[in-house]
Amino acid sequence: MILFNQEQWHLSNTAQFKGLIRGEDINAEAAWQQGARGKGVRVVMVDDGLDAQHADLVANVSLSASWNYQFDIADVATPNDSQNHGTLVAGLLASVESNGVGGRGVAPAATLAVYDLLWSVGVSDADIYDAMVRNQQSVGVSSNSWGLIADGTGEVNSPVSTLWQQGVEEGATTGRDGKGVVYVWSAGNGGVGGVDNANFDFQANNPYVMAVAALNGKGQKATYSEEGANLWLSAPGGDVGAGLTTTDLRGSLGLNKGNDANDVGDADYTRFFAGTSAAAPLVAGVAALVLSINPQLSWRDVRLILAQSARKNDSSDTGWVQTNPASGQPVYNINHKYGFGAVDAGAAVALAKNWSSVGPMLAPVSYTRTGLSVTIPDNTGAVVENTIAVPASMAGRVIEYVTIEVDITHGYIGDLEISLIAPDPAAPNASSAGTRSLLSHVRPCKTTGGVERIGSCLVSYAPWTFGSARHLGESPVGNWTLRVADKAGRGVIAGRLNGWQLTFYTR
Amino acid sequence: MWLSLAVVPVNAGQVSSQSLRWFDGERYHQVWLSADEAIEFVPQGDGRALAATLRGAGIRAEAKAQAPGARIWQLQRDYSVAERRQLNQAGVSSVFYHSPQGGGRMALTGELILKLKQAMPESELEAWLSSRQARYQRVLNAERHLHLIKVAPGLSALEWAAQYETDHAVDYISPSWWRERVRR
Repeated sequence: MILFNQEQWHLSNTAQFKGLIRGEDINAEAAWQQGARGKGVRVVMVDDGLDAQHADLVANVSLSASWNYQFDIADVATPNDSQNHGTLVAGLLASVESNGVGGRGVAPAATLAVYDLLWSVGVSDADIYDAMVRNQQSVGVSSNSWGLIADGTGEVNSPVSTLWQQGVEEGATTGRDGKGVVYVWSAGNGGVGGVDNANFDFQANNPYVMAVAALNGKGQKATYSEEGANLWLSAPGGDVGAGLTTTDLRGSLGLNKGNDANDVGDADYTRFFAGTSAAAPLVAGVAALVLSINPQLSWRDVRLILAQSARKNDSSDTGWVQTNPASGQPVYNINHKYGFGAVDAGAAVALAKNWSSVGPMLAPVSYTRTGLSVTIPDNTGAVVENTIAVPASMAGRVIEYVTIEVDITHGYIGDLEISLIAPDPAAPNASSAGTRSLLSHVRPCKTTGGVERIGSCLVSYAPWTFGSARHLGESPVGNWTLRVADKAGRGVIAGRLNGWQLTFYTR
Repeated sequence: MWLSLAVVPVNAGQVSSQSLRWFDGERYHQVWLSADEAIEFVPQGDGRALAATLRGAGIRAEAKAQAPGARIWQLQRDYSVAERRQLNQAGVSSVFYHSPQGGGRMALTGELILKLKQAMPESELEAWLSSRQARYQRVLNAERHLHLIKVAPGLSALEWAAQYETDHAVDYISPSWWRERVRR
């Protein structure tokens, strides 16, 4: 029997290990001291299974609320050695507290259900949809540490699953008696060398999910964590030198087989879990704490609370900018590496206590440019610009998310830098000099494993939809400019901007 | 120190010159056949029995690797669409890619998403499907008239969808793709 209070630096970082910086944690203790434990909130993990009888999980696991896609029954399959991921995620989310063993989850009193979608045989789009909407009236938070494409390819993973998109929209708008399921998504682990970007992931681009990046023990971007304009938050995910300590398959199964002197002494746990897979359940756990303290909050209230209460980590990083708020809205710090910053459980729970709901989301509004046929010169330094003027009739609306669909024909999209520039707050109808969303960067188009995937850059953006969280709280009115530049000479044929569409999700 | 970080390098097979079209409910997409890979959805034993079955049908293949919830098979050569029907009869689908240069693996389980223009009693829908060599699976979303139906796996699923997508009762039919799912 080992207690891991000192191991779990992501909950309370006291610089207990070499290379950690004190305070670079999720500030969980401050949330717990306010009485938030996640009690009464059901959190669903969509994953590869779970060791449901693990002593540190069993009291919080609801088998009747879980689903086994292999046999289509309310249960959790017993994982084999290669299905350890769900048990790692579960411990971070909702390990039982004060039970005399192991560690503690962020939401130690939450009810945990598992949809074991990832390793079940015969799973198709219909099951992926099901995992987003199953029991949606009773699910508070959906924690997703997975994706539909291998990270690190740098390719846009078209075609998207429209059925999955329908699922998250349905869960967010009609789930939990209309208050909506809170969807949390890991942003991806392909960020080494800038190969991949969360904006090339259609799931992380979706306006109904929160994409989460990973931090190391110093509060900086983990080496593997992907950047993106669509990032909402960051959380500790571990890195070389400091993984996260969590539950593992018991005994000789899983990551810790009991024979690694560097791992913890109890083989039912491990200290080597890392990835945006680890960061996402920490945010899901904080969302559960927030809902447990104020169950009437909508999914959008929770997102806004988490954004507003986030901590500006790695404060000297030059990527931090401030949003240009619409009248009466708060200023947000935002960074392509971190979203709105490191999740802060204590601050989020405090803010949630007296939060007034922001009311319904208005129907999304789109503005479209088609038939442009603008040439994108090959590596000349020229920048192609096209502007959409959003009319004054949109005044009074407040942006919560923006999607940008681009239709670009190009011989090698890895050469392209694409960005969206918001209206100049001082003169919105005159120019675009506001907040910038970098949507696509020049990249090598090969995997982090070194496997050449040049072909992945030969797929045009025809079309592709990027997401951006970076205009939260801003006004949509004014000139929005799309900038496209070919900044490398690998695709020798000039490309063409055919059109683009800007969609605002507002209140 | 070793960390459990689920980055999975793509090591996909070769892409065939053969491509097909499918509809996702909003727009048409093109997919390319893998020249040398197929997917078995419910792996049985070490695969020798399936290999023998395929060999008897003129397809040379061997088990290559385990994927989440499926087994990947290596085909000896780029079989024609007609030859690949033998794969389908053995419950195996060709692998598809969304670009001519490859990408994430997709495969056709034989499940199709059927969106009807209006509600239809289940018994009537079952009869409609039965007369077209398809089976009813379950409702996906009653309000949206979305149903899951089952035909043979592989290319025949695309062909079935193409054959009935213009039926007066049908809004659209889309493959319920098997896709690689990656832990992060």
